Amino acid sequence: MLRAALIWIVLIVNSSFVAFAMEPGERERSFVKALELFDAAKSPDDYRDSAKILEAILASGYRNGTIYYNLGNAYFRTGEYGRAILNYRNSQPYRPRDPYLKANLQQAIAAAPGRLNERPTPWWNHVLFWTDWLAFPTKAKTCVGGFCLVAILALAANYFRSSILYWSSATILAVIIAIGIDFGIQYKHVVTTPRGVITGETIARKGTGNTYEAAFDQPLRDGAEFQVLSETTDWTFGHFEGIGDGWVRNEFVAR
Amino acid sequence: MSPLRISQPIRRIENVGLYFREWCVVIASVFLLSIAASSACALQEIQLRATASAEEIFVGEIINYQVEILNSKSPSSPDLTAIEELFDVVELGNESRNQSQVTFINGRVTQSSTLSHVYQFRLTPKHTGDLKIPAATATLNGQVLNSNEIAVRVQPPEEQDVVLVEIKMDQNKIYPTQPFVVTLAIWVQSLPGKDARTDPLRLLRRNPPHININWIELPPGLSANKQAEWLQPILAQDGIGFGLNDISTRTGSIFGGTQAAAFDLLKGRETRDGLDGTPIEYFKYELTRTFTAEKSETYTFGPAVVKGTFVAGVVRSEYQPKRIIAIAPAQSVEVRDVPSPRPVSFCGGIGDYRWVSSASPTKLRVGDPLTLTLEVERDAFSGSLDLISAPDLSAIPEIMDSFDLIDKNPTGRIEGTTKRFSYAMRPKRSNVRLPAVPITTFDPRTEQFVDVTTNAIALEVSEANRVQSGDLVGSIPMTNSSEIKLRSEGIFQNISDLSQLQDERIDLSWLGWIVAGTWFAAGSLMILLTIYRRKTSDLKWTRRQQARRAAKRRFDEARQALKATDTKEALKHVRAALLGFFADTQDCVLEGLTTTDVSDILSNTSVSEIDQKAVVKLLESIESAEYGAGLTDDPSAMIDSAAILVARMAPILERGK
Repeated sequence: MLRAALIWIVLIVNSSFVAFAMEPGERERSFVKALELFDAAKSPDDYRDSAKILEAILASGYRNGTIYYNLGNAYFRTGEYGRAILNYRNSQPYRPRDPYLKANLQQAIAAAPGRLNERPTPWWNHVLFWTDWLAFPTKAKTCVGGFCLVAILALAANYFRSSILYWSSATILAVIIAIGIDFGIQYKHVVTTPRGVITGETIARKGTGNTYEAAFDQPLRDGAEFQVLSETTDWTFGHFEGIGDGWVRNEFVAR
Repeated sequence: MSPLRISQPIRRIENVGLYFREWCVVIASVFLLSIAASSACALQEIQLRATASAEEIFVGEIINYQVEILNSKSPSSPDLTAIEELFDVVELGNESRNQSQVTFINGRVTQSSTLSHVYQFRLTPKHTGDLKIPAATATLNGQVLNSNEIAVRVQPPEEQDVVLVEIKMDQNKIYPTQPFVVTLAIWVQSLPGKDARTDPLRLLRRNPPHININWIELPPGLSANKQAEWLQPILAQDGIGFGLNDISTRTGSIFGGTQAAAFDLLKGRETRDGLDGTPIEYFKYELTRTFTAEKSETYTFGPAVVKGTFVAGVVRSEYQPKRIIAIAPAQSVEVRDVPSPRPVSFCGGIGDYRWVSSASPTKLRVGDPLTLTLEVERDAFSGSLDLISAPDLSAIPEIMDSFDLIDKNPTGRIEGTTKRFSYAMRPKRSNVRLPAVPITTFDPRTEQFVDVTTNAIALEVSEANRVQSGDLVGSIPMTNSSEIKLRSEGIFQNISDLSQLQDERIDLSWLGWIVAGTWFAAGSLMILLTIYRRKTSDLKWTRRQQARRAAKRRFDEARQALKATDTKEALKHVRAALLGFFADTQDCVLEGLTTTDVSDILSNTSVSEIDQKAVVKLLESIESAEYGAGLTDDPSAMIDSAAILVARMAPILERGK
């Protein structure tokens, strides 16, 4: 009975992840077309065309680390380093152990004219030491599977009156809660995208208007990353690491 | 009550039937009347009737002209060719005014209908004098029909120096995509006496003067900012200003509605000579709009008409009002094509532009990719950036000698007033530089082509090292190490594995339901398990649950004994079954339980009296037979009736009732 229940849970958890992948081969065709354009590209505009196709794939809400990675490459080739950095960063939760992604991200950061200081690693990343080992969807699957397993183990412990099973379920619950906290923190970054990047030279202001004073002594340039604090229809208020806060026009912001 | 409940729906159905018949009659009547009415209309004579909004106007003023086609089911637009010789005609649209009326009075149905279609036009007279608006013609049902003619007197504007109007163009000759400004200037004589410094329009607030111009709507071939963006900033909040064409605003009144919008056009004061040559103080008003010509053509603005009642003097300390119409003659601007032949290096730019070049990276090796960016920034009166094409670098020998040009004709990206072209290239040898790029634009002031050059860019190009396996960009090294040494240039290639395209979206609600469902199921099972365990440890509950089964088992034993013709043993089993059933359900000791005890027990339960008596009688019969009194009933029937009694009492006694 316990085995049957486990199989049932695994099937349901997996079905929730593959439920979206039911579209016919349109996505694959677009992906291949973008690759072909990229490979045949001779100018930044050709790379931009490749990027447009990849952006269109993501426009429907579909999320995939590979698409983000290739999109970062396309933008890197067009010379739009800000957008390249953004897409490499978007790819990271899905491909945390990909050394090529890390290398390309560092390359884009190094090439970006507007790069700022790196944001210091938050303290909880040291506590939740596995955060850069597991992909974002893997964390979600682990959490769901773990919670279901704990429920079954608790039921089995109750049925067999087994203290070993009780302790096992409590231990697994503690581990799953820790992974769940890690998933929750990352979910905020992946889904609500509180980070932005500057895509062109612009002056950050102290208010939502060009009449406000400049927030910094120099303009911001392509590739300057920031944390979004607030936003309006035309302006975004961001925290720029190492320099402070300022409002920038949305046309110079990619998120 | 029940017959009434049945009869009501029947009556309702009857009523519905009655209404349905009445409505059928009405609808059929209306339908037939409609056919009859339309036939009647068709029989009536088709007519064209023309009306005009005024009989006397000043030149430059407009007349609203309306042609109504009566009694035609398929009207068509009237022909105004004859009218166009004397008037400028603008079509304002058309509408159907068909009317149909059905009246029911005391069962009599009367119907009347009118077929009418109205076409509206705006006429501006081309001449002064007593004119006749010629008849409009229309061909309907193969018949050519004429409307009535209308007499109109068009008066020339009076020569006066109270209000002066002029249309001014900042340029008379321009080139495509160059912006130009059209200004309507109005001068209104200052008020006499001590109010000379007061805006004369202030007195006209209740009845502001009106401007009529033909460039409120964008003329074809021109572009400009949106009407709201243009006029909103000059909208007079206090109502002091000029009305403009038929533009209106919403009133702030709680009753809603619209009122003519007033626009504040005041620019200052100016002194001009009057009709008799004496200097007169005027207040000056200006309405400006910037246009951009999209194609080569001559565009005409005007005539512009200003009309209203103005202060024309003072008589016995009182202002003398005078109705004045002032007309500004039309002005035109010619949009020319850039002359040909054009230099090879002509990029399409018309006007002044600033060119800046940059390269990235500037420190590289032979064969490394390099991006040369040319940025062009236009000034306010220069032509559109859309016209500017990428300079042809392949025509520059120094570049072709030193660089391998990957993209010779980039499309460029426009951001605000800047357009950016990015060229991808690779240096062929070391110690080269990017030379200045010559570009030709057209100067509309001098009507000459002008050459400009970008700045040259110094590069540090070193010889390429011998290629090693680690230098290859675009090939992923076959190593499992996550320690990757960064290259100074290039990025790792794309992922092309289609199997990695699975959707990695996370649907939290789905996952939440799975977890919640699993926990709910596990929790429910745990609760059921606990309840089951608690019950099984309760002896009283256990005895009650097993009572029926135990009784059934004994009845089976009784039947077995009866089959073996052991009636006495069978009756003993029946008695044991009944007493055991009562002992188990009431949780009392079986041994020593008598018929009297059973009777007492049953009297405290909700078992029916008939069943109680039947049980007591059955037990007494068995006891009598045991003690040798003989059986009055069939033993088999006794077993069956005992089983039936147990089955009937079990639901009551098992609940402890």
